[in-house]
Amino acid sequence: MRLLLFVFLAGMLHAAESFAPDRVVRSFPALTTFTLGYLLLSAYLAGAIFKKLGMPKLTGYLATGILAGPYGLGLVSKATVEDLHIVNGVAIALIALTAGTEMHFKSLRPLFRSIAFISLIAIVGTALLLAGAIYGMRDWLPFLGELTQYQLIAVSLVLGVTIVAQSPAVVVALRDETDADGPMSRTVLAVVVIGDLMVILLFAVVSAIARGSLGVGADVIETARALSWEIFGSVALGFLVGGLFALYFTYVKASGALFMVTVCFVVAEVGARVHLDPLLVTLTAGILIRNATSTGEALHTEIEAASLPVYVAFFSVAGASIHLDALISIGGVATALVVVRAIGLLSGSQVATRLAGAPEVVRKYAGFGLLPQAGLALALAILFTRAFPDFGDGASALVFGIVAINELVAPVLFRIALTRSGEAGARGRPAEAEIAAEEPSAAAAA
Amino acid sequence: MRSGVQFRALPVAWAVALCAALIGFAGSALAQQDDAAGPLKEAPVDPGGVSATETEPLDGALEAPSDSPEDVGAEPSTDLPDEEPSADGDAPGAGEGDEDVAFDPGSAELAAEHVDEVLGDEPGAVELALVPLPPSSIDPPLSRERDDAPQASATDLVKVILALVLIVALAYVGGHPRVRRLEERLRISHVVTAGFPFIVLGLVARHPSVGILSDSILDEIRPILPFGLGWIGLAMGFRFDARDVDRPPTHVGQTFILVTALPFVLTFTVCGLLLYFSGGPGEPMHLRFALILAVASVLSGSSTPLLPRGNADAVAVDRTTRVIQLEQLAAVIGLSLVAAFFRPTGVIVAWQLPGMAWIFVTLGMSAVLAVIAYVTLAVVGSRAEVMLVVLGVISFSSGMASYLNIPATVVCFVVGFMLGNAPGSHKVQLRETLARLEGPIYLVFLFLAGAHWRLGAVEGWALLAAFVATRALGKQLGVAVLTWRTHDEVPLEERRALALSPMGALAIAIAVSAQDLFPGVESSWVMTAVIGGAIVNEVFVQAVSRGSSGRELMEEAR
Repeated sequence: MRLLLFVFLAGMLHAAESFAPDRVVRSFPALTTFTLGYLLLSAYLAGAIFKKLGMPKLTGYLATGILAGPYGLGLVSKATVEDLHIVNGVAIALIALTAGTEMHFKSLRPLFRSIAFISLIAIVGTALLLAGAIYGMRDWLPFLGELTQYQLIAVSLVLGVTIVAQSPAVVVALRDETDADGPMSRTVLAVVVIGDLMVILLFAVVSAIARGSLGVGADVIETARALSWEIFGSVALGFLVGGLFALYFTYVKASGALFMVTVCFVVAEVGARVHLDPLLVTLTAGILIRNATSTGEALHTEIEAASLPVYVAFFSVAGASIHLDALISIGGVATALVVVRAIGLLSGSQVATRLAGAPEVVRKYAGFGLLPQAGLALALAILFTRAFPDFGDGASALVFGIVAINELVAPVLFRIALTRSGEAGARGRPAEAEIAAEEPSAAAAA
Repeated sequence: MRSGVQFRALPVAWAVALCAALIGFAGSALAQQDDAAGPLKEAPVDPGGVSATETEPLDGALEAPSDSPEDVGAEPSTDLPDEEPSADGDAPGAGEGDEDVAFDPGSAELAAEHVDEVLGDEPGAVELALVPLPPSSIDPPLSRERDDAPQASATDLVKVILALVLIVALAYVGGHPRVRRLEERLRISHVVTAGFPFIVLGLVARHPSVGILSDSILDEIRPILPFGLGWIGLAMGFRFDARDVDRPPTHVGQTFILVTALPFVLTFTVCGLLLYFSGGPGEPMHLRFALILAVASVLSGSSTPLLPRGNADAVAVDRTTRVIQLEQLAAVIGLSLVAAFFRPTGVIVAWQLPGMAWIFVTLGMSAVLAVIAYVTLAVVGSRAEVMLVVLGVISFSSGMASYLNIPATVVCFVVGFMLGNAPGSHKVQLRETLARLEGPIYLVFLFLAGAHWRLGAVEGWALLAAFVATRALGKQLGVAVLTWRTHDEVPLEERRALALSPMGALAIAIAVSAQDLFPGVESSWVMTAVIGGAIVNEVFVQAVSRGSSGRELMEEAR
């Protein structure tokens, strides 16, 4: 029945679009509403179908977008996809807020060592490994052809940092979908959030070096100033937003989900315009509420009520935006780099967790949570294009290809990891890590 | 006008409206900064084809323009679009097609596309410069998608923060029990909660001298309008119980006919004449606007302060409710007929069908959408899934209808009617979801309706006066005839409520539908007449209601 409905909805969209084909190729408000409804319903149905097949619902949402998108069946035009990007801001802010409310320092304390080691060894190590692989594959990457050795190394480093980026969005969505909780998923969430910030900082540094190697001026002081504004300003605003949420959930309470979505919308739209990072703002707000107030649970409940439509819209639009053409044009090298990235992150997290003495479940499965990849890498690719206009387009195509593969494959692997680790469906149960952390003190007391 | 609005949701809806205003403010502030910095096309452009306006901090450091033309080998600014960006960041020709996408200074993506364009034709351009930018963004960039926006000043940031504080403060104050009690005591809650302040807020935010909601921002949020129209239709259709029509209380039929037909005929005649003379004899399509005004005039709000449900005769309340439901049904039918038989012609509507065929298309499409909604709701489990499906169904139905130039309210009304009258366990959850979200969505819709309302034309004001007068006269006449025919069997209280009824949300939805279906100057007059008429009517009804309440209190005191 779901499959039938899925096909029928696509047929209706196609039939209606035949009414005025000229409206399809340009921005048309009713078509945006229509397409959003189509994506919500179809992606929801596809998610249910994928779940029956033992795959993540999220992959179903993405697949719907890919199938209907401009590089698939073309039911959703590029112009409409652009119009639908307004959903992204809210979704990102909401996802970051969720991630923040999940980061309970008390629960994370036993995992701090693992988090720090994985962040340093797996992420930085994989970035270096990827840079080496790109350097090694330079003959298959024509856009690197005219660079000198020094320039090549510098540019490879920038690409290595770009390609290593992870996706907090996918991790949060999969944790919610599987109701997962436990040391592994908590570690992964913390690492991907920290990794996000690390990648941004590293990108700023290595791209400045690379630009210097190419003889293009880079203002180090200005870079530092802007980064400081963006990071510390976002954190400061996050404290304010967190305070406002706490006030609201203490004194008003009514229609909390709607209020939250509204504030996320404001933060996303206004924050981006004043060069603040919406992710960092709402992440900080979430962490503050979770760790410094008593309204964390109320906020989390409201997020759960509002998150499903936002996730479905967000991931289906993301699927529609995947550049399949890039994948076709540069598929071989992209696949090789996906494999190198996976090897780097999996082995890096193995080494890091062993050094940190992490629990077995973290050692075995945490690496899979680092594999999903999405918007950060794409956004950095855009910056790369602008920073290195001579060959940035070629590099962007490569990154798009890698992200496309990771978007499709990595969520499936992470879902399997969550299931095998026994953390899927464990939300609400006392976490092993907490028990483990409490055991020594309990023993001492005894 | 209170229909279905959850009072609880008022503070949040205020917050939503203010948020929209805040976003608009930020947009306009930045647009002004853009203007102050000079139009993009006049800005110096680096040899890479990247505008100098993109070289602000952070990204500027990451993407500072190339110093040497050899690095890129592209032509300088001559490749930039010729069109002059407007004050709010729009460029002429926006939305003209995929090939000539609007050159929006606020869009970093387009700048990237421009890099593609510039590089694409150059000998030095790389082989793989084929991929159009930008990609989707699953994780947020650090200001990367809008990095051509100017760096915010401290003042901007303070304003943003203060606005956030204000949102929470207003939400808190609005939702506080003391404020609610005060409103009840002053009997102003009806006017306030009816949402008219949101219409006024939208109107003020849109005003050029305030400059909060610019054209570009309105365009960006315009997809919410069909959604709002659809929501109102679905909610009303869902509550329409077909069984009520089978066994009506006495006098419902003639009451309905009298209080509907007379205002309809009067409004149609007077407003039609006004429209005819204002537009000249060569404009036969004015008829459709007169019909839309006439359809809107028959409507009453689903509750009236003159017939309070607590103390009035139960039969009178039941009869009034039935009459109001029938008015809504008549208005929906009327709107669908106007939309079918007075469709715009030409390339905008590719299918050329007779009016009756459009009626069949409307009904058939609505039925199919209702079946889809019914089947989808049958397979959902959790509350969140129901909410998702409801949002999806309304968005899909209203978007499809609006895309086909069919009234979204009508299509969603039919969908709601079929869902509400079909057997199944979905109704409880659906009712709960509608109740939870209805208030805020309705108020946001009113905010946007206010933003799209153009007050300037004298014709609109003339129509407003005619609309209010003919509607009131028609209702009064209808009630007078009813009194004469039923020999005072209908209680005075009920007759007064029918004669002095406030207008419902559906009337405003019909006016907005007119603008959606028949965009043009006449539809803005219709909006002035209906929205303004609803406000005038509401205030008048409140005044009468408060006066009668005062008299009752004095009588009680005696």
